[in-house]
Amino acid sequence: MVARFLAHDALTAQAAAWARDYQLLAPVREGQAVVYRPWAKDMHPFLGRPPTSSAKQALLPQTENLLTYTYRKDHADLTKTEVFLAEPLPSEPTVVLGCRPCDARGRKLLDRVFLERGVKDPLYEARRAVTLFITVACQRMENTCFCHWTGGGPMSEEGSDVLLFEVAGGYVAKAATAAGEKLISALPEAPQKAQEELAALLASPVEPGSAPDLRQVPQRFLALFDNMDFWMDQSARCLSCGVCTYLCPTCSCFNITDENSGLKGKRLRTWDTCMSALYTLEGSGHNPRISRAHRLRNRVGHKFCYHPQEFPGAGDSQPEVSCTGCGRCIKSCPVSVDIRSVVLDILEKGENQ
Amino acid sequence: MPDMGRDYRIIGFLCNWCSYGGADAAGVARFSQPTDLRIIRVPCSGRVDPMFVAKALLSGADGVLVSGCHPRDCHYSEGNLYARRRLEMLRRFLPILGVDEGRFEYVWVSASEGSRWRDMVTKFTEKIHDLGPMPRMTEPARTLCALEGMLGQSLSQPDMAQPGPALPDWDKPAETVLSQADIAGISTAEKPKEDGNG
Amino acid sequence: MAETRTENDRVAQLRASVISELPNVDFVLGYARGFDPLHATPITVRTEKDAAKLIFDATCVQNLATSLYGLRGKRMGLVVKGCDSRSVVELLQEKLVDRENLVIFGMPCEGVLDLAKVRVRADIAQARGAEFVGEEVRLLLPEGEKVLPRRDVLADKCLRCRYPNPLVSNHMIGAEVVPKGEEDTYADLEGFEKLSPQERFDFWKRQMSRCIRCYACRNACPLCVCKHVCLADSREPHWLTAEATLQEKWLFQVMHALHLAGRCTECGECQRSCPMGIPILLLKRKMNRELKEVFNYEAGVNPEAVPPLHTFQMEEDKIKDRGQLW
Repeated sequence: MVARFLAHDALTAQAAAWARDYQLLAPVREGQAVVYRPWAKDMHPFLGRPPTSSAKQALLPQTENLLTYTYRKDHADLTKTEVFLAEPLPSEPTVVLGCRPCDARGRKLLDRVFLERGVKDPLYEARRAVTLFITVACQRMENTCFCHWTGGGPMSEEGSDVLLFEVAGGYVAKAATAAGEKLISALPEAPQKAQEELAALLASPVEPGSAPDLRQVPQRFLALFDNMDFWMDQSARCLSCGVCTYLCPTCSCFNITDENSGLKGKRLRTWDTCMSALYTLEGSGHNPRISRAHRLRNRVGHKFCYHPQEFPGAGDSQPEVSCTGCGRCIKSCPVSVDIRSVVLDILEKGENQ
Repeated sequence: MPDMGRDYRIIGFLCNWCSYGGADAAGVARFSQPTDLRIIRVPCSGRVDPMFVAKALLSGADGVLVSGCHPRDCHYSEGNLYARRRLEMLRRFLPILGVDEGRFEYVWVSASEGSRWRDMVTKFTEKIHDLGPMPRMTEPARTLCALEGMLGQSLSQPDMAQPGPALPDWDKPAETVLSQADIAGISTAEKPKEDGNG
Repeated sequence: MAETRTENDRVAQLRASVISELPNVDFVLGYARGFDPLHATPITVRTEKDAAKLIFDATCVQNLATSLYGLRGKRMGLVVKGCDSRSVVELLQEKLVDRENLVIFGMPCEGVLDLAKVRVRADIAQARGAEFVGEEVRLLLPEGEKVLPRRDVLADKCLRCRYPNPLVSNHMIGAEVVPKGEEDTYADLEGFEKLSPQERFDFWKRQMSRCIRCYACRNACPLCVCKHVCLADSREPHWLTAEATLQEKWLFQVMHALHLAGRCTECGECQRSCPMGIPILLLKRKMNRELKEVFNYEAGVNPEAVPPLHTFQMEEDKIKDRGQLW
């Protein structure tokens, strides 16, 4: 695959070109956040910082209609009511520009949930088939980054269609899939100097630092499962909001509600958060996860124990955790809950339980 | 005023005793008044939660009128006295949302004041007509993943043709959007430079 | 994070004070160092070993009073800044917590950082250290030291703070501080109100489009005590749908501001918690300015005061009788 070049000052024009054939989502700076917006002319995509929200919204939007329905009464026989359903399936080809490797890797973990458990989610499947990721490879680890704990890395290709490596004057674009190759085919070939710079970059990539051995986590987590003092201390600061779950590239829980107005209605799927007190509130009024301790235990357990148990790695390898180490949950958490320190505490305290 | 193809929607919350009686008196006397007002009867103006007004305005009502007994004459003694405080604070609050002050009014009308009711309704309706239709908090045409059948107006909003408000200019680069720091210094000249760090 | 010697003394004093009260309470809520030198995080102190982790400096932004209502009934200690103490007073005014169950460690405060302001001036994603020396904030970054004037990076609320010394406390730790602000001129509101109604409406449309309905603003608020029966989530009555549309997001913010009328103490946690940086404090400040003008009332200052919307007067000085206008 040919390495191509995307100059900084060609970025906007190229994005506009992509936007002619695809629905393009590009990150822009708004206030102190970096958010994805559908392309509009004169937008200035900002690739210098990982976006505040993850790219999962391209595959699993915060709100979507599962179906819309209309009732129609039969005027001849009023006891008969027909229901007309529309179940739209998304089909517009989409490109996500400017996510990071930790976002793109999240795709695989979302696939586990929506495609690989026996039942395929038709909306996710439809979107997945038409969405491409152009990922900016990272050249530094922020204080909140821990992608290397989860099997990823700052320059990981997993889940991406195109990788952009920043060099002097722009980005060297390398396709990671055939679809990605097609996407960048109009770009000029990368000049010799840029290719050399990239080679140097790949030869001495950013050192992510050490990562703990997560293989012991499931067992030690389960050993600590009933230790509510431990979980109360870990969760005492938590506000039970949804920041961590909504910004997470791999969190996929959703709620289904019906909204109707007279003879029409729709069934909505919206993001849900396991951190909310309402998450397991049952119709009877009983709530099995009534405290923050229960809920934080569930969230960390899901990511680092239940998921690896359901999808064990081959042999002795590091477990597959339902986390890509993007660190958004740490960076944007209003009270600085740090899931890394919860995991490290589990490893330390779960040893002798 | 451009023809919207529909009536203006003005919602009136009328207390059951004085105001509804006053409106009824206006009806009995066959006074002629605009038909934009749709009345919702409540036991007392003190029943009116400011959220009723806010939700009405933000869901498509072009104006909201609340009417109760005169202070000291509340059927339940004190309801309208609480209402007075609440509704005054609401009235002062609405402009920060970008809602024109004139769209919400609260008045005291007694059961015998039929012609005064007619005058209030006529004046208020004229004021709302002058202000034009209420702007709506709707997404622009292309929104995040706005694919067919998704995201869109809630079904509880009447789907009516209206000369919509000028939508925000999505084409403007992000730098022109007011940021937190901008608001802090909006009355002073200096804007902090953002260089995308952090 | 390195501190000057007086700050070190104050933290030592706080730790000693907390330790002395540990036998009288189930636990104490205070601040510890978070994941990097610019972030603090709340901790639960039960033992002397826990108390050794306590810190107090300009990174301690969280309002620990947020946890109070959820923990009512427990005997607990709480570390508060001036603004946090107003939340405690408001909760006392509304009889939502019991003063007897609280041991309050008051920390007179010179102001806390607004990380958004810091990020505009320095790249702190890899910050290695932070020092507060006099009027300077010295950041240690991978590329070297960067010094910022403290005034440029303090939170807006701190620049106009009139209550730096906690209004309730069992132990006051450190010398009292002279307030920075004399009177709140609401300059930010005045500036915003120069926009026309349509411009303001469009402003909020743009701002709210970033909202992800995480409810961090609601959950961070010390006065939001409805918790799982919050009207924003209820189906009966059904105020809001779950749709992530502008309409629903905006209606929630309006609901929040209205439900906080006469109760909000402007601790600013709602705005600070927002991951998208939406300036929602402006709405509550508008409500508070009107309350000040009409009722000369400020929430969370006097534990005996009755909130103005809980009561009424036959003749209202500042409310024109609307009935006469027409």
